[in-house]
Formats: sequence, C-alpha cells, structure tokens
Amino acid sequence: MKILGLSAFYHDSAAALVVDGTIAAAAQQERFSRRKFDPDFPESAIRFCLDQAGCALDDIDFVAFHEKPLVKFGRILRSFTDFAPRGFWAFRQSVPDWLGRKLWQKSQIIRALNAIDPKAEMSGKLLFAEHHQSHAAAAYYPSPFDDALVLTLDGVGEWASGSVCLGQGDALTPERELDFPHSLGLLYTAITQYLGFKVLSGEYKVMGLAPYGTPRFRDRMFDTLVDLKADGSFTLDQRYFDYCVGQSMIFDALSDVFGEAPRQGETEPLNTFHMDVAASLQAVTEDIVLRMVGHLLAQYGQRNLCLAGGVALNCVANGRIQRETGVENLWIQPAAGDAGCAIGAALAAYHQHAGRPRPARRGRDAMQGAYLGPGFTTAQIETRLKSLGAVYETLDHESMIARTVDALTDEKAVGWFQGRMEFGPRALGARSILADPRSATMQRVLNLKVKNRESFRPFAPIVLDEDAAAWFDHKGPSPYMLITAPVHPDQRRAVDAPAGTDPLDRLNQVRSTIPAVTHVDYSARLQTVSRETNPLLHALLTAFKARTGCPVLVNTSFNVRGEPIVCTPEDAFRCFMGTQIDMLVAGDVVLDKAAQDPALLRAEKPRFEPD
Amino acid sequence: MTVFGTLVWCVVYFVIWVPVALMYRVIFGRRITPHHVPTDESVWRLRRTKRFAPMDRMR
Repeated sequence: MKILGLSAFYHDSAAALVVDGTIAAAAQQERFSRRKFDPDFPESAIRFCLDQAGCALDDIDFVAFHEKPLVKFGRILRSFTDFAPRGFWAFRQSVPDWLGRKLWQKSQIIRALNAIDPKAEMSGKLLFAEHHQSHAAAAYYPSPFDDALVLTLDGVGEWASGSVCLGQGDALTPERELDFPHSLGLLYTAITQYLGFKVLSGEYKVMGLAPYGTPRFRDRMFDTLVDLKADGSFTLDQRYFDYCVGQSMIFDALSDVFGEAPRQGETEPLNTFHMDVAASLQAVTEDIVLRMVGHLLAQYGQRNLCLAGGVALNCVANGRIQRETGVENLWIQPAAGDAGCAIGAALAAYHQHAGRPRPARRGRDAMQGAYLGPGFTTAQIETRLKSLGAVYETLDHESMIARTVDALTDEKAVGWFQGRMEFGPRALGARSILADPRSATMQRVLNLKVKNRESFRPFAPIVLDEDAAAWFDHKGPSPYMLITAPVHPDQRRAVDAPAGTDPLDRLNQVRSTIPAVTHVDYSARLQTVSRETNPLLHALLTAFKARTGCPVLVNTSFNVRGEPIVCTPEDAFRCFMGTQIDMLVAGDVVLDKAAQDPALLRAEKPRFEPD
Repeated sequence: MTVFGTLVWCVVYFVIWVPVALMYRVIFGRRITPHHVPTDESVWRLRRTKRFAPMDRMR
C-alpha cells in the first residue's frame, strides 16, 4: 500500500511517501523552490517522492492531508465571533482568502495533483487527519517504542495547540488536548516578535540568545501572561496578545510587563534587556514543559515519551526533559514542525485508516537517520558540476576523506554534500558545512564570513557516538541534534580573556577545548553519529580523531542566512561560490575554492532575503 | 486591497457579521475569553471518545 502525505498552505510545506508502512521518501518544498518555509502546494516534493519510489501518482492508494480545513475555518470564525466588534482588518484579510481558496482545499489539492498526472483518479483517495493526529503519528509510529506517551505542542492546528496521546502497539489513542488560544508555541512566537525577530523563523534565534541573559522576568511572566496549573496545563491572558483576531502577535500591554517597548526589528541592536527577556521566555517554556511532562508520566505510568510539534524543536527544553523528568526513553521526531506532519498524516492513514500493522522495529527508529530526500551519485555530481564550469577532482573514497581532514585541520570551512538530503530543519551531515571545533576563531568566521548571520548564534557539534560521553555530559544517542547537553567538565577551560563591552562578545571567549561549539553557558546542541546511520560521516570523524585526538566537528547547515538548505549539486556549488567556504566535497568529488574560475566567483551574489 | 473592496467588507463586517456574532454570543456564550479568568483547575480538554475523527472527512 502506497500513501502520499502532504503538509501545505501554512508554512514549510512538504510531501512524504509511505510504502507498506516504511517511509520511502520525504522532502520539503522549500528545498526545490529555493524559497524558505515555502507554504505552496509541494508539487516538486511530490514529484521527487514518486520518482524515488519509482511509482506514478495513479499507483497511490491514499493521499493524506495534515489537517482538517473545515474545523480550522470554524476556529477562525469562532475567534471573530468571540472578539467582535474587534478584528475587522484580520477579518478583511482572512475571510476572503478562506472563502475564495482555502475552504476548497479538497478540489484545490485534486487539481494540483492532476497537474502532475492528468490521468490519475484522485478524488476518492483524499483523506484528512487532525493536525495534532498528524504530529502524534509522526512522533509515535516511527519511534522505536512498542508503547509510549505522546506529547505534541505547537502554535495551533484546528483547535488544539497541544495534545496527549497513548501509543500501544498499532493503536494511537487521543487522551486530551490543550485548546487555542492557550498555546506554548504562540507564546514563544509572540515574544519572538516582541524581540524584533521574524515570526515563524526567529524562534530558534531567541533560544540561542537566551543563555546570554538572566531570567529576571520569569516570575513576572507567570504573574501576568501565563497561568500555570498544577498539572502543567496553562492559560495565556489574552489582554497581552493579539494573535486571535489581530494583525500582530502582541498588544502594547506586553511592553508594560517587561518595561520597555518592543525591539524595532534587526536594525535595533540587541542589548542585555533583550537577552534577559529571551532567557525569561526560555525559562518559562522549560518550567511549563517540565511540569507537564512530569505530571503526565506519573499519571499514565509511562516511561517512554515521544515528542513532536514545533515546541519539540526547543532542544534546551528537550535536554532538561531527558535529564530531569525521570523519562527512561525519549524519542523526538526530527521533523517536529509542520513539515513532519506529511509523514504523520501518511502514517496515520496507513495504521489508523487502513488498519495496517507497524513494521518490525528491531530496537531502531524508522526515520533512517532522516536521510529521506534526494541523493546523487558521484557520476551525476560530476556531470552537473561540469555543466556549471566547476573545476574539480574525483578521488577514491579514502583519499577524499584524507583530503577533507587535511582541510579541516588547516581551519578551512568544508561544504559536505553526501548521500540523501535530510528531512526536517536540521542538517545532519548530508548537506552540512563542517569545520574544526578546536579553533578559537571558527565561530566568528563561520557566522560572519560563511553564513552571513548574526554573531551571537552558536554552532552545533557532531561527535562519534562512542565518544559522546567523554566530551559531553550526555548519555545515549542524540542522532537528530534535538537535545542540548553541557560540554563535559573535563573539556572545559577557565575563561582566558575579558569579554569586552558587548555582551555578545562572550561567545568568542575560549571556554573549552572545543570553543567553536561551546555556548556561553557551556551547552552544545549535540548530534551523535553512529556507523549504522551515517557510515561516511562516522569514517570522517574517526579519521579526524586519529589525526587530532578530537572526535568532534562543527556541523552547520549548508546554506547562507535566509536560504533553504542546499538540495542539488548546483545549489551546493552556488552556495560554495557565493560564500567563503574553502572546499566543497560532493560524493567523491572535491572542489578547491582557489582553483575555481574567478569569473564564477564574482557572479555569485547574495540572492536571499535575511530571515 | 482596494478602497472599494474595503468599504464593501466594512459593510459585511459591521452591518452583518458583528450583529450576528453578538447575537450568537448571547445565545451560545464564548469559547475564547478575551479577558483572563484565573482558576486552579486544569485546562486540558479530555477526548472522551478516545478516537480521532474519521479521516475521510474534512471536518
């Protein structure tokens, strides 16, 4: 049985193909359209999924959409009802869009599918999952567990902003929900906007900013904005938020809580006040999640926990869940945001609608390292690079790894394009930029000269699975970079220089043997690499360790600020030529920046709006 | 967003929608409260049927 899962029309649209219960392919539309968080119908992603599985649209048994549009429209109308007469401008904007387009999503999807294959008969095949059913299915069915508590938290789906389900064998049972407008995701997004970052893309910047501050507004937030109950459920006081029927996320009243006006976008410099607000928001988020998880685990007597929804991308909170709640086994869907709902909707259709059993798990999850996107052979890469005028060298496997280690130890930034592209927001070593974490200057160089992004943002480490415990205060695998762990005390160093006047300069102080991946609070967003899931990256780390004694590398996504992660060899070459990446390694093909045609260097200008 | 279109939607909203919404609210009450109601009670909504809605429907 073949089921196509779709997530679309809000942000970060995606497609996934499940064949007999196994995820055969999944990709986000943004990777093909080169438009970050592309919300449009994921036509290119669908075409890729079908090609990857070698099937036609007509072979698909069901197409599963990630939410129920009529229920969502009902929630929007109910918001306008409950807030009337307020809300005219949002009504003016939203209702015509729904009446003219979104309400007819069934026929819109069928038309769009027929544009891919006009002969395919799709009308009887379309299914609609609840949004949090999609999240929960994406969290539970690919997990390695036979039973688990499943917690999903995001902005909002139809009505729910969070849900609790029980997974037992093939069954996934909804237990309880937290309803709009009380939403941890929307709280985080609202304060993100208050801090002058873009909604739906700046949240992870706030998380990165939080360790610079002190959470001095935490109690005040609990006194005013958030009413946290004993069981971890909560309400948000809507006198401070305008997301129900407004055109903004926040009211001016929010300024009274913090005592200053909202930051006016990226042009206004960040100061300690903004850092303290970010730290307070992060502390409030962690308090809510920890209390919620602790209470649910005790109530349901479960020790396995699955997480999904955008809030599950908060790796600092995830790390604390793992360390502090008594959960024995934690599994987080790597595509925890809405893109992952494409997988979830397809799996919900397979197991719940069609009643098919889960495939055998053998103690491993079913995400295949999240390497579910397009892949290219060395021969295909050579052909494509040749057509672009690239100067390259094709090496044997061992020489390619040795040359890469040479470049890394010379403190060069290496574009690493290998195997199938990752599904989800993280680069996990298939479309990555790698660098030496021991370098004291690497963080600044990568932020400002390679990625063109804000100087305060930290980089994440990849570490050999078997060496993780010696370098980080962390037990067990973390294959999807979704958990933050402290750098091991043995690797820490006394801070050797004063930070200077700018508090953000603290990131450039050397505070460990791997300063390029150590945040100001000694935390690191960890990815462990095993031989089973990524043998090539494991081999590279092993070779780097043999040369340097360090089994850790910097791993950041292969893109520049505002650009989706590269998908094809052409994208990789353009990014390589448009930045100060020193070397590109694609398959066994190696490109040195110094050897490239200078005319091509000049041709590559920044093409993406900063996020 | 044209001026004429906005005027039409003004009429739709203030002359039709708002009175209907206020009437609806009087009869059925609010589901979302714009003001804060402090309470110690849990705000989890229990799914009593323990089932998701059938997937072959848009609602």
